[in-house]
Amino acid sequence: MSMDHSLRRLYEDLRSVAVAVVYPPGEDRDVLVEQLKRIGCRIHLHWPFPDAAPAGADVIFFQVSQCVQNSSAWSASEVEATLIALSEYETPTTLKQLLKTNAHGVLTRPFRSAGILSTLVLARSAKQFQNRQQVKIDKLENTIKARRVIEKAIRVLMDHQRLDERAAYEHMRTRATGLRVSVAEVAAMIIEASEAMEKLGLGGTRPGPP
Amino acid sequence: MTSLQDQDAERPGWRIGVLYSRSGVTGTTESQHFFGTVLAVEEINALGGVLGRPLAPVVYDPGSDAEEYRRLAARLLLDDEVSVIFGGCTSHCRKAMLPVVERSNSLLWYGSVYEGFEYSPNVIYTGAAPNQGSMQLAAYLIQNCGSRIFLVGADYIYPRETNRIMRETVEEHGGEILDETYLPLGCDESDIIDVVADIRRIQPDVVFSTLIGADAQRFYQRYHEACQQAGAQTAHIPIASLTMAESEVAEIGPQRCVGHITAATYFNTVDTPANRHFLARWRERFGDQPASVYAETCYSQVHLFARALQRVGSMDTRKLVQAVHQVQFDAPDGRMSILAENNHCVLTPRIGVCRADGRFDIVWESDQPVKPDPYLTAFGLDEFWLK
Repeated sequence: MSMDHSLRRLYEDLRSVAVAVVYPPGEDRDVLVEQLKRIGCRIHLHWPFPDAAPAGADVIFFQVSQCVQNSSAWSASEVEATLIALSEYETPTTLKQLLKTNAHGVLTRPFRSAGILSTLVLARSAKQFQNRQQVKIDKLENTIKARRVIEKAIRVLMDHQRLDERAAYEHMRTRATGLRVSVAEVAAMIIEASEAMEKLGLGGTRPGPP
Repeated sequence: MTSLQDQDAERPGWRIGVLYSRSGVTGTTESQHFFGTVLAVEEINALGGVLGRPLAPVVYDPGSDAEEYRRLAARLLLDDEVSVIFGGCTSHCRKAMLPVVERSNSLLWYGSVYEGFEYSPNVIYTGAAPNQGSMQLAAYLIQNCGSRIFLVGADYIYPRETNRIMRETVEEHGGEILDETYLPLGCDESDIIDVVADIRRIQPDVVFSTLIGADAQRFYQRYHEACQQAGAQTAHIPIASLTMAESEVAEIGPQRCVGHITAATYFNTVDTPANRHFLARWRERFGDQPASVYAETCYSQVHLFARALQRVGSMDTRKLVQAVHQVQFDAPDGRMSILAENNHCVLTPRIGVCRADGRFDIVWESDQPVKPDPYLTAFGLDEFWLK
């Protein structure tokens, strides 16, 4: 019987995943760590609470508490790992604290062996989805930025070179291919050049044919 | 089952665990928990126990230490083969017991006011939820003391959560939180002196203190000294609290507590036949030592447990909890019952002002018992605004 491809990937992912556990020693941590071992994760224990996020971890389980330091102190840009909060209370102040941690999942005390795997899988998936979304957002933002630049350059070419919109774009595209850069970069050069001419008092519309 | 009948004379007692600290930061408070429990157990056993078998307590002193609470709860449930525990005061001690209580499917009776936002099928909560004291006290302070409020508390979940409610309430009504400061449990004397100095300097209308146990006692003492030194020309700024009961006042010295305000579901000045009976028994057993809400709650919860046990004749947690939802007890503070939907207790909020004899004048009392709402689903001050 062959295992579904994505299911196998999920299992292999969990076997290879490096897990950091930031929690004080004791029975509660034992319950968590023993279950993570059963699941097949590689585990590193951290305590007291480190100033920076444990390096090299794919997943970080960490204590949420009002009294001690929190993961919110870790610089968000440094944390590549999936974050799973280990919480004790569910009062509004604790929930606010929890939101600040930017965790992808949460386990609430008392910990039980059941539920740890599901939380791990969902949090990993949520983090990966978030990453994919972020990549997409970055791309879209760049596209929008490029479009604005291209539109501005087209207007420059239309005003100064008396090209129509289509010809202006075609001109930039051809140049981009020739120079092995993107259309947006060519557009940026045109805008820069136009602004330089303007500064030198050489701007303005070139007189058209009579 | 004739063999069982034959053994009647020497049937063993119903083993129950009792975990209250007689020492440490909450030693005064938890001694009250302990004495209330003792009184009820002795009362029940003097009347022949439950279904002919006495309650047989197994008792340990966790010394106000969460780790000890965890260890001793495990010892009771796993080694001593007890399945019902009466115990706990602070939230971190309750939370420390919770894993082993749930894992062994046992039953914990928790008799302290706390911050709410918890439900366990293995816990019966007989102390006040935030909608049974905190919110009423906030309304009372704004209406009667003024709206410039200074918050000081112990650094753990209960004070922070209680202050959140206080701040929300006060700010919603145009009041102002002048300061919000937290001291670690078992803090240094200098921390307390600093806070007292801040209060003297800032001159709020009222101080709301969620310091607990011995720290709170030291705070009231230092505060009193500072006010004395300042002389009579300065106005008396009252301290309000949810935990400063008669037992704590006795430790501080009643003269030092006159005019301070406490919200609780019981004061020993409550005038009911059940309370008169309770206080008579209390004096017989413990003499002049005052009974407070902690003793009263623990006394009542043991009686409620006994009624449930009487009904089912078994220490099975599921059966017991079902029975708990059906029985009632005519407690010193009113009719006691547990809501099936959240395992918390129906209670009557009261507000008292401390007198020179260490007892409280009840200046406000809810005209009817308030259902527990641990998750504050009906949150909104209009619900709690005092009439």
